[in-house]
Amino acid sequence: MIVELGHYALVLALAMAFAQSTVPFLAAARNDRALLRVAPRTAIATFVLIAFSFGALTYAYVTSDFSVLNVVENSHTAKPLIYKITGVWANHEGSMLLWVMILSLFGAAVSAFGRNLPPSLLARVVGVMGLIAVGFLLFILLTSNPFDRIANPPLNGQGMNPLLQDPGIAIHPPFLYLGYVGFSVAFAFAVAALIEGRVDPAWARWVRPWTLAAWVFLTAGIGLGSWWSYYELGWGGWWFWDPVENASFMPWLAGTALLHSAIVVEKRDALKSWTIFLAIIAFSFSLLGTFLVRSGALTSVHAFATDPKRGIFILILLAISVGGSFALYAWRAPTLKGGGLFQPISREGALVFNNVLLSIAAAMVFMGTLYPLFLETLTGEKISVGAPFFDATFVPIMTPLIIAMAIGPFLSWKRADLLAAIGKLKLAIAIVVVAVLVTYWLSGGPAFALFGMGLAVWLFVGSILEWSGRIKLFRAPLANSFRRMRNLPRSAHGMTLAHAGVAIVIAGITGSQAWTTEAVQSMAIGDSVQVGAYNFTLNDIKEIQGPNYMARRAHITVQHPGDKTTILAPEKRIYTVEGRPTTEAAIQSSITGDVYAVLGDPDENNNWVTRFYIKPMIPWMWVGGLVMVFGGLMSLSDRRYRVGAPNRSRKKAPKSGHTAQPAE
Amino acid sequence: MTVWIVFALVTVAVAGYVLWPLLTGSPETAPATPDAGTPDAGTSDDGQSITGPQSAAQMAAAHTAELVDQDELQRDLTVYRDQLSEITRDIDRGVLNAEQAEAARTEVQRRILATDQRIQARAARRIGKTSGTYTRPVAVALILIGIIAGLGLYLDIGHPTLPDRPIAQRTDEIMAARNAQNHNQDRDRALRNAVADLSNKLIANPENLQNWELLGNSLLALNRPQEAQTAFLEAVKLSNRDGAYLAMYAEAIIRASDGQVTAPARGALEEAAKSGNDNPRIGFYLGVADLQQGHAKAAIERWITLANSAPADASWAPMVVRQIQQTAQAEGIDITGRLKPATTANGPAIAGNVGPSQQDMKAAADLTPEERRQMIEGMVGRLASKLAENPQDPDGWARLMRAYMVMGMKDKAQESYQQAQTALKDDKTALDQLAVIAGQAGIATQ
Repeated sequence: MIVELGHYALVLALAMAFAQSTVPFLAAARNDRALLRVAPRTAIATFVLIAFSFGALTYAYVTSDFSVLNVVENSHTAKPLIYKITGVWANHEGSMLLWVMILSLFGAAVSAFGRNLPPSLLARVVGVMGLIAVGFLLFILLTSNPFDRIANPPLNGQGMNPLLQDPGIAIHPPFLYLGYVGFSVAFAFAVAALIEGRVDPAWARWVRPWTLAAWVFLTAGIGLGSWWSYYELGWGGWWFWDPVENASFMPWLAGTALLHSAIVVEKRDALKSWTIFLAIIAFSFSLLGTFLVRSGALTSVHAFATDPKRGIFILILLAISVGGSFALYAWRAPTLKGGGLFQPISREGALVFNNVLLSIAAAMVFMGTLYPLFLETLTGEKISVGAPFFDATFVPIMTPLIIAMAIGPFLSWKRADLLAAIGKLKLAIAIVVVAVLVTYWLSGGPAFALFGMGLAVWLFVGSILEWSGRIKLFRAPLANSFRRMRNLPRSAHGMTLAHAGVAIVIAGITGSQAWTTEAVQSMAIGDSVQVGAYNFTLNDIKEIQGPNYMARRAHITVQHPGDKTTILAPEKRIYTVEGRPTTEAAIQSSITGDVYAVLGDPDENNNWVTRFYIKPMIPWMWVGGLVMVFGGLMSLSDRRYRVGAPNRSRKKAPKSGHTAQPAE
Repeated sequence: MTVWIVFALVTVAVAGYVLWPLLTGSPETAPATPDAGTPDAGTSDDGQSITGPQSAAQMAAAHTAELVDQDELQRDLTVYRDQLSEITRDIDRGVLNAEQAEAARTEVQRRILATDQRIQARAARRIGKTSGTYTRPVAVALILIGIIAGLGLYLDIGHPTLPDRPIAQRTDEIMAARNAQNHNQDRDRALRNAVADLSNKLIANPENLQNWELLGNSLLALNRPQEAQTAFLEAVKLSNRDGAYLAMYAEAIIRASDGQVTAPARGALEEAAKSGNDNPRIGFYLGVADLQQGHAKAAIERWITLANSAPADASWAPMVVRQIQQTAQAEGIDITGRLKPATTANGPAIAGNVGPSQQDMKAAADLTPEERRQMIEGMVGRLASKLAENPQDPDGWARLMRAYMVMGMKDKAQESYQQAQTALKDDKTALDQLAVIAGQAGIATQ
């Protein structure tokens, strides 16, 4: 009965989402106090019902209930428990359920933490999120129902794509969806503001923590996804400009821009219309990504579903929500009055510069992803737009952005002195010169590596200098600096961390692109091969039996420079139920880089094909990503953005520390 | 039924939670609640609704709006106050000089003024307007319509009667599947042995009609109809085109062509029918041929004749009756009163002197599983003791072996097969037949 109760809960959730998408608008329009209190309750009820439904589906997976078609198609009794659970969202129907559950989670969170929002704004925000939920719940129930049943259940299921049976990829979709769908809050705030005809600093202050939370999750999700492709696909790549990756990158770029332009709205009451536009764009990119993946318009690892009916349904949803919000924007945006004026050279100016470049970058990704699709639809010609296009367009866009990233924080609001700001960065310029020379001396190039390392050092040192300048490090007594550091708003720490994180990522990308050495060879047991400064010896190969796979595991001794030795154990697995092989690379990470070994198949002479990579600095990418995420969380914990904090605790806050609820 | 009670409870709980602010609306915050006490939320009229004079409602509404305005003003002021203190901090940090700070302060103050004006303007616009009384009933109606529509959708796509089937509760199914698999493997092995054996014998002595028939039957049981066809063709030739063998030959052709009665099969069947043979396959497959050519009525006529002419103990009769009933229903043909009463009895008729009588069958239906098992054991025991007295009964041995296998007593079945082999050692034909039957039942024959 649990399964059917879950099914019924999902249908009831649709009913509640319908209520959520109508009653709040009515309540806000009539300013009816009791109805305004009904509004957040509809959102919370929707979430509880969808969460129950999701739990029921998970229960069906965990207990291997093969009367549920979705479980038959994606699970198997021999699968380890963790992959029974993650199997819930490793398929089309379940992942859509996760999508809409997270949407309703955000709706409920806004309702629960939004008590000090103006009730009519809260109601309209909740209402807009309800409209989106109705669309997606209808999509699930009518075209992709995970609760389809079988009267005569088979005794076992068909298993799950072995590539997805991995801890990294198992938690990647929830993070990614928290990011994607998180932008729905900013979108809902934007649409609600357009309806109310009012955007002001207070609005920006409410919208910012939600955008920041979404950005943190999306950053973590993209990082996890790229980490997974790096170690699981077995050839050391971490970003392929795959359309599905691009689909997550576009909202990230737009969301990053939104995050910065919302600062201008909050501090200076300017850029309102543009910020609203970005909020709509960011979520539209999320919806577009969902469409691209779910319609089967693109084939990739992620395309579980290739059903034209679903594609058309999502396309209609996309047209209604994006088209509708832009129409509303065109109609209402001109009524938004601009506030503070500013000079081109100012903090605002720098943030506009950032916005322009990020938007161009998002547009480039958009074109590179969709152009082949249009071309194929119109002329039938198949082209592929890959790394060369993106490398050629991205580097010129990102370079000025990163240079400006170090300068921007030194500029003051309204009107600033660029030369004075650059003057404060003299030390950074000196360190960049030294760093480039040292890099050249150590590695001898190539030129792009010197350039990349220079950029990374520039941004890193610039960020640190700005931070230390704020706390007057070495210019005031240490105790004084420490006090200033503690008084600095957390959002300022967060910015420094996030910018420094970007610098670390750039260093990681540059290092791994420039100095990777790789070797592919066939080896007999006992053979050795020299790769760069490392020596690899194939000791033995054993057959092992996993819970639902059989594997060959090699033991490879690696002699590091300086006589340290370690053992690597890469595997080649065959998943018995699905009958598909996977490679499990063995990776040894350290601060200087990764040693990466892959075991292939035996060749005709019964030697083993092996691939070894030395990838300097590559872990920096993920460390940098973590630092960015941490910076985002730090900023999110800033007292000012705690939407849930009651007003009265404001005065006590500096003394009592941070006891109130954070905004996530 | 429990399912619906749980669904109802969930629905009422959800509706109650969502509508709670309306149900508990106090006079101050609920100027007009003609909708209080919705039936769905499980409460009757709670008496808290105010249906007083319109002017009171208006005053309350105005008061409410004022509260909303105050809230909003306070909220916005909080943000701006924060910004002012931030400017002070910025001076502290040296980011702003006194002049810039003054400008920034003026800007924030201008915003505060704008907020105040906006809210006052709104209050002025509101004067003279009253909030309509239809708002709340409309809201409640929207929620109820959603729930009712959802229920309709669920009735369409849901399966409320289907229970959960977690794999842990399906051990008996898994065991049965495993047994069936073993059983099939044993049976196939025995049949393959029989085929090999018969083939050897037929190489040595190709004139043995009986062996060709057995070979054909074994191959059919192994689902190798193509080869069975060849074996039956030999039997047809050797028997001088006997009707029964023609019918078996036709059956093999039909099986080989996925159930289609092809021209050669039909030719063989018609030749058999002309020879006057009464093998039931002839009438049955000719009926199938009629049906496949769209002559449902003719097919049913043929089968009715066949069913009515069946001996009382014919094991194939129920199958024909079922076929008639299904076809008649699908084609909308009335067959009431056309079938002899005896043949309409459902369930497989077990032939033979120890088979269960009608009364036995009736009784068995009313028994508990344990009693039923005892009854069957009793019948099998009687058959076994009969065979001990009179072992020269190949049919009896075959029934006994099958019965043991059905009851899952494989050892007993094996034992009785050996006893039968000893008892019938002089009757070569009976032994060969028994081997095939044993093979079909899943008993090791070697």
